[in-house]
Amino acid sequence: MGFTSTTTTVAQVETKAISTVDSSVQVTLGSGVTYAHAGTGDVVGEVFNLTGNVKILGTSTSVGTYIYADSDAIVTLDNVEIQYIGSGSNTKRGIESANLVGAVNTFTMVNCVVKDLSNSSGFGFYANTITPALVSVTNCVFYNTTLGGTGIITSHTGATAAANLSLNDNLVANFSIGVNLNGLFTGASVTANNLRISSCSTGLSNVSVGSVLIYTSDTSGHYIHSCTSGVLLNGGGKKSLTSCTIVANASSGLTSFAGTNVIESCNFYGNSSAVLLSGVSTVAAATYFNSCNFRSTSSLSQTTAVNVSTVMPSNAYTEFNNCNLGQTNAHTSADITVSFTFSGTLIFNNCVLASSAEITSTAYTLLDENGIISLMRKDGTASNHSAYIKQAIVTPDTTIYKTASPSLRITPKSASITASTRLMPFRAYVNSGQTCTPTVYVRESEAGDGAAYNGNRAKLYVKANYNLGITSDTLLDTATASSDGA
Amino acid sequence: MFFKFSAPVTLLGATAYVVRFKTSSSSQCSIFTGGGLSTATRFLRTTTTQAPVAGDDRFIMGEWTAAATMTTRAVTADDTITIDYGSASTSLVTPALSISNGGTYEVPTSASTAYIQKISGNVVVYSGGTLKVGSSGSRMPSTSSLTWTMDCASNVDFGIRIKAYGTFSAYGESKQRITTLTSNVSAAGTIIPVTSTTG
Repeated sequence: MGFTSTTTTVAQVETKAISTVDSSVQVTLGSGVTYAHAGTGDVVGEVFNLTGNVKILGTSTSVGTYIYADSDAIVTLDNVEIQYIGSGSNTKRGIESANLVGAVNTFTMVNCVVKDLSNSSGFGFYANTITPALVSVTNCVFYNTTLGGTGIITSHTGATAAANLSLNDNLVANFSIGVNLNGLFTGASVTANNLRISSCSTGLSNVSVGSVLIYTSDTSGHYIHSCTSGVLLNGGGKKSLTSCTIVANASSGLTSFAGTNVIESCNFYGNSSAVLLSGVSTVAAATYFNSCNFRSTSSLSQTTAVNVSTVMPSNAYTEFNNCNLGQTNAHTSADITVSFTFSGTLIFNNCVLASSAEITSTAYTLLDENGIISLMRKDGTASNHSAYIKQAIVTPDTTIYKTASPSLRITPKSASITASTRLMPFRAYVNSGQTCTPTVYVRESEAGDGAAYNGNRAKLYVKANYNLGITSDTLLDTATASSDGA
Repeated sequence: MFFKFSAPVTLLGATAYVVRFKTSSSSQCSIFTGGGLSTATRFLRTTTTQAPVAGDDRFIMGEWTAAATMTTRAVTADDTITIDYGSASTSLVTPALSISNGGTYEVPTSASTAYIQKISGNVVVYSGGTLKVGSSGSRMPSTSSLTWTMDCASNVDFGIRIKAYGTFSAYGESKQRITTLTSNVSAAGTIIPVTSTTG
């Protein structure tokens, strides 16, 4: 039987022989496990049965075989052990089901074990479908003694949503890519629920490419742990994850690279970084986290909930709604980390940030002219808003105001970077022929306000508007000494 | 497709024979040719019987006895010793085990039996052919086993190919495939508490 790793060390997956089955809830091994495996808490290890009494085998760890079901074939593998399979060659990839539109075939694998790819380019199961028709792989174990290859991959094109590709309740362990939901899902529907993915370089990957992707799936309830990278959302199109637990992954829980991604009710515990916002300068992702939880475990530190780790284009957008960051077990660095120049938008709506450091102290130095991190109703408190831009932290001030609460408090972050509300301009609507006379009350902070302002006088600018003949940001007025503690 | 002449044909030495195909109307069937257009792929079955031996390629199919009349043929794969069937051809056109329309190759599910299949060459199940190991109602029992080895010389030399409308089914003993730990197991521990061991 096999045991998945329950730490951030991928290589702690192992197999041992059973000596006795002691009861309906206990077995005894012939020799002890090499590593500790957790059975309680945030990470619970899987135990999987690697043997069957009907075996289909290749020759050795490097000389394997394959099973290929053509379109319209009828295949049922039930409690079958399959070992030494796979290559990178077409029709010889491993266990492969090929289907065409209108095919009457069925391909069913249930309770099988597929183990030990004979080639690192091979696959445990390859759903090579134009439109999936009655393909079901359920409650199977995909395991590689040596890390490599891909456990399960789907590759679809098709204009009809002739659903019936089902990949539910499978365990995938020790592959380079555990499960790759790939292809041009134009209208296709894939049901992939309750996958348990462990000890892979990348646990769950979606590397769809193409300009038109409508990916409807019920991809939910996964338990992805002890991988290097838990989930990779790559490629265009809309993707969703629901009710997943992503825990103890060595590098990141989830890396959002491109496309539109909706992450709903997922838990990110004990990953090195929960979420990496990654990308290239020309590829933007829009990612939404709704009702998700991010924290360390009692034994595994999570440094941060979200880390901007590589270059992001200015239209990259990430939003967290009703999420909890750092509760129960705080993040060890900060709830929000910016470790690379950031041009995008990061928004937190009604989120709890419970770690001692909510945002890395140097984040503002890495926000460029277009980057903004916005926290609204922070910790569930009304009016507890703040916005981090390159130059300053902007917050509402309900204590100090001129006429009515609140005022806008601008806290410069650097003596060398001019603080401004450039990214949050005030708008006034002016009809043709009218004159707009803006009035702004400015107060420079005194020591009793928290810190005395010692910078240059505040200035009021009208922003460039070519429709009005204003070709550059234009200075309207400069505050005077009377604004000190006004 | 297998059929025989209405009566045995005794081949005379130094005599050329020609076999042609004729249909009642045009385009009723396609004949697969291996070389020139006039050379249909074929094999000749003699009346001499022999049990298959190592190195043999085997062809299992129903026998056409009249128009629209076929007698199905089933071969029981009950080997319990290792016989390496197949001539090791990597071509799908010349498989080691070919199961065609009306043919069934079946591994039985008797108790206390260790079945063995070893094949050097491809296994191809064509339309109407059936490769089966037990059924949902008659699984390989816990006291028995089947070890089916595709004896490749290089990676993916040979495999199992199920063509359109071919059937391949295999049913092993039902087992608990995946469970979870219910308490922590320390390094060197041998006692494994799990949610279920059923099966």
